[in-house]
Amino acid sequence: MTLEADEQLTIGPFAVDAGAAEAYLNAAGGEASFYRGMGATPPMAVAGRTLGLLIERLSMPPGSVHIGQELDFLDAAKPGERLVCAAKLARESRRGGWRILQLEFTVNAEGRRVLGGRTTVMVPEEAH
Amino acid sequence: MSRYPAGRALPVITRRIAQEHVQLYAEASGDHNPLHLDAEFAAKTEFGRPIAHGMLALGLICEAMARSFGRHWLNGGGLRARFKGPVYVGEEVSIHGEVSRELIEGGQRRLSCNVALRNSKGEDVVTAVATVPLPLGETG
Repeated sequence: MTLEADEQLTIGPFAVDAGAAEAYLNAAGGEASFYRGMGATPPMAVAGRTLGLLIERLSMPPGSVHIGQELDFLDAAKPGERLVCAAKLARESRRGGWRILQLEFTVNAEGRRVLGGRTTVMVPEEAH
Repeated sequence: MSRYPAGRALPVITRRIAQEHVQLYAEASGDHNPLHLDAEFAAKTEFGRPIAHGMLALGLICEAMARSFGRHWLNGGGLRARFKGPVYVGEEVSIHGEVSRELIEGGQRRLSCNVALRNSKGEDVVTAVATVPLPLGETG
């Protein structure tokens, strides 16, 4: 799908369960006991899943390149908690055969804001 | 005296990013971009071979921050990151960081840290400013 500037997109509900959190920690070298002790989901597991869903929903083509990321970890989500992402296209430009998209998003867990972020991605123009 | 004076180095973390890590990250995130997973596809791109997901590289920085600052990082930490170059699959990388400054504003204390992911050639390919809130009373 194509997102127009400032058009809101809602994704979810989705969840990051214990298995997905463990896969993330095994990939990134995090300590599972640290998060288990706090009953928390690794915030980057939530951020990564959110970005994965955004990429899928926006049908970003193979070869898209992530060039910038801002994240604010506002509160820890619990494993398996129901998450909803609200996203919008904040900025779009074109350069040398690429579209440069800046997406802003927030993620709420059961009404609590747990994450805010801004992602900048370069998408090959001819493929989109 | 602050426990986190400007210039204090964060522990260096070294890790080899193997194909297995990239595959696990793809499964956890749902991001199956062939640039990360398919050598034949990646060979036709400007990178020439598979690169790690940017969010996986950023995850290494976040785990380093979590080790240094624990729950404070999870509840109020923030990152402003730039991906300046690729992290190739199979490459050994290290996370370096130091406290850059401490801010106390409106009864809130925040540390700002400059953090980088360095590749095997010694190039900082991901740079980030990470901020973390700390209790006002926490001193060394």
